[in-house]
Amino acid sequence: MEAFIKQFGIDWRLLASQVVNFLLVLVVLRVFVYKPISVLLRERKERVEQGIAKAKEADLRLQNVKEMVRDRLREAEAEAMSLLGDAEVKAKEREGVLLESSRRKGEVLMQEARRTIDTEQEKLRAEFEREARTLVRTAVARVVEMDPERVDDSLIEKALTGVMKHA
Amino acid sequence: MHEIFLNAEPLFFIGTYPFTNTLFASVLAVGIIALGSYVLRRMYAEVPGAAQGIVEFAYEEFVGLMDSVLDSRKKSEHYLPFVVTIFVFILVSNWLGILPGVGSLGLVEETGHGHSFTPLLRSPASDLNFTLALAILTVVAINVFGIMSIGAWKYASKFLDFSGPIHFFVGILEFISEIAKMISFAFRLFGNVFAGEVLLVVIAFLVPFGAPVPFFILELFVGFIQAFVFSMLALVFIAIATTQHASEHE
Repeated sequence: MEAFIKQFGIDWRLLASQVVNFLLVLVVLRVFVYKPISVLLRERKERVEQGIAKAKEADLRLQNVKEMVRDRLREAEAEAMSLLGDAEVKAKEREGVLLESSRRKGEVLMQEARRTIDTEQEKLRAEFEREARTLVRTAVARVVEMDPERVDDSLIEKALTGVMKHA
Repeated sequence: MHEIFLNAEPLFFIGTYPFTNTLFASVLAVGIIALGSYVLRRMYAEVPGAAQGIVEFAYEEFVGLMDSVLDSRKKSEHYLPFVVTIFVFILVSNWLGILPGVGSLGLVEETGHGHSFTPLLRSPASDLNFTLALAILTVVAINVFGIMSIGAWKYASKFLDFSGPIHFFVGILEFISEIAKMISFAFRLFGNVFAGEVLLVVIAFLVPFGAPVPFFILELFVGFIQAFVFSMLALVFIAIATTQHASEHE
């Protein structure tokens, strides 16, 4: 054993020195590397998790807002449809009223027109009568002035043509 | 070709205490790690730069790896400093041994037979004092973690079980296995790194230009793998030590 120890140069003081070196490295790495890195990674992980949570929350909010918008749109659409229906009903009512009013006005106008026509007819008839009387009077006067034997058919014909023209 | 010794060469003595070139390299490794850590600490920012990004990535990867072994994020974060420190310390020590100047810069002394050359720096893991120190520390720490995790009495029952002759014998085997762990930890790392040093010296002696380059790359890889193996074995032993086995509940 002694030969082995001598051959390999094993010395407990060197062993202890190497152990101290290792412990120094352990302490240094612990202080400067492991702890800061683990803290950094943990904080980053937490931040990422928070970010994901916030993103999920935002997603949820967005969905809610979309749902709300959809509801509002549906409500607005329903309201618009209802307003449109009302407007149609009102328009129909108004149309009926207007039609009725127009019809009445038309009737009034027709009556007035008829009255005017009747008046005009009356006037024409009266004038025609007056003309006819004048004609007849003229014809009678001429007949009276003429000799019956001289009244021939051509004169009668003339008289009648004159009557027809005045009519 | 300069002589290759199994034991580390002392650079000077403080009383009877030998300050060896491997210890010097180990102190240098501590200095490099401390300086790097300090510089890194000053660079920490909300938005990580390249160095911080690499460290964060490595940290996350280690935690993930430890999660897969320990099956608990809390336990992983608790034991991570110890396991990762083993990895970093061995890695930096191994890679330090491949740097130009290490092994070639040293002290020349006149002796009765001529000149003797003592390298100023030598890969720490090519000295059994370094690997054995880490092995002892690791095995002790594993047992301490076990005691802290499942309680001294329950943990001691792993070694001292008088419920039957077979259990008692298994307890003795467990105790021997702890010593075997130390030896395997120490000699695996020592053997690989020392062999690598010898290989580099021999190749550099035979073909000084060009030929050592692939072996340097190989040593970089071996240095990484050995650091990883040491730390992963420590992790697995921690996982075993801190877990209550079903038979222990009965």
